[in-house]
Amino acid sequence: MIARLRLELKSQRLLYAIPVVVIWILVPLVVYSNYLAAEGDLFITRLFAINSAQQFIPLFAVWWPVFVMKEYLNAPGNELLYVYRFGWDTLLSRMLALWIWYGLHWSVLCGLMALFLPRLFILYLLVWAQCFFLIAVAYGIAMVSRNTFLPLIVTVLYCLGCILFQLPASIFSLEAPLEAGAELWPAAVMLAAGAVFLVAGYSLEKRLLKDG
Amino acid sequence: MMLSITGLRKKLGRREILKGIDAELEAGVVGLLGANGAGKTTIIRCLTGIYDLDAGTVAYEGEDIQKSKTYRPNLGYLPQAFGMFRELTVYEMMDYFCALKKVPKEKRPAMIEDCLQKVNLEDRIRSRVSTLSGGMVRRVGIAQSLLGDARVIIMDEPTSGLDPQERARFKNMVARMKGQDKLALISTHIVEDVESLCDRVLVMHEGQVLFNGDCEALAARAQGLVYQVPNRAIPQIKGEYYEAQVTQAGSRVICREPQDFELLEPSLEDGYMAVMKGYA
Repeated sequence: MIARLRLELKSQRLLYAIPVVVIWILVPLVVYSNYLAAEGDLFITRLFAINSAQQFIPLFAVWWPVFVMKEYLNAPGNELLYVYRFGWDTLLSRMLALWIWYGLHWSVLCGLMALFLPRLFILYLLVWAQCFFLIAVAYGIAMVSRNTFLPLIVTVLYCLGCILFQLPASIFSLEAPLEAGAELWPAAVMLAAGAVFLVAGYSLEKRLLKDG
Repeated sequence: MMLSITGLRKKLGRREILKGIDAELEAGVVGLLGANGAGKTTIIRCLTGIYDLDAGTVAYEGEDIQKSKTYRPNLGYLPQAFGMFRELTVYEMMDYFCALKKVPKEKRPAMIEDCLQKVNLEDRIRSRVSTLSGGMVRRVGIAQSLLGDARVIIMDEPTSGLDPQERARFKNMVARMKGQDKLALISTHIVEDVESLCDRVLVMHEGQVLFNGDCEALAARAQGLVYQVPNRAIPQIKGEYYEAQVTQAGSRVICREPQDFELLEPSLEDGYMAVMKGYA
């Protein structure tokens, strides 16, 4: 499965690079520019880093999964991909693998930021949980609607809504310092909700094409 | 018997598409012939395990295909449409399908090269699929169906989009399959393809098999029913008829009842139309 997933990501060509650019160029640039604007104040820079990570990292977590699902759901002749499905070779396992792969990118970035900015562990956990939730929601919506544009739109609207209106469904709270002792229950809720979407989505994936 | 189909029924939504199909398919080249909407693609999706059956069974060498561990590794399939992962190169796409079919890594380069040679695409092996013409993409699809040395190869409209030279090449490739222990099931609505490719033919209409036998027997079903009728005499034809071919010299007509016109030797297409119209 991993060899095929590698080729599925390779087939995205330049589109594959977008989350990579966001994680490795956009977010560090934003943090660094805020560091300069804050004249080296690490407390303020840390707040901007928390905001930037919350805004950008989860937003692009669904990018690779959506484009992988697009081939399975909408590509001409996609039924061929379902003739040989065995065991763990499923879209669900791909979602989890891509969550881990995206999470590894985030882990390295967060680790590098932690060399300069203190107390980023809570942020690290919350962002990873939020990415899991959004990938799971995208998978669930895609399995229900057999459409990959809709999950992308829902993700964008959700992230924008949470950022702009501080909706309770979001685990993020902009401007919050996320100190040690901050509550982690929102992350647990996100993980549990994400698991529900994955289970529901998988029950639909097993029936994909079976009944026409 | 390579594939046995017994009492196959399938509904899509509320509409029953397959209404009890029985057929025994031995090694060789079998044509699945029928008009658009006859149920050809539906039966193919049942044979490839994509669809669950509402009733009946499909067995590969005596074992239900849903339970058989040997069926899918020996199955090659070309869908009616083909064109996923178009930004991969031809080699990468073939490698992808090798991985899908669990072909051992050490066998892949030679197998990919061999399959692409059969469809005359070995010189495009490093090209991206998105840069190929529609006919070339179709040929990549044919090539992937041959991977893994499949024993059962099911192709849905394989010649669609192929130019005459490549159609001839495809026919030669299929001809070489005869005599090997392989079953090639080719679904098409083009009678000419069946005539040049197939040993046996299944004629489908509205979810049922109207004919199952060899091509000579299908043509013979129109024996005594095909006439050459002068165009001005068409109104004199008794009973139901079908104009198979109209020329300035006259019409080739398939009739339900005996006529007083010149009888012609029936072709495969005549037999097909006679069966479809219920004249035979």
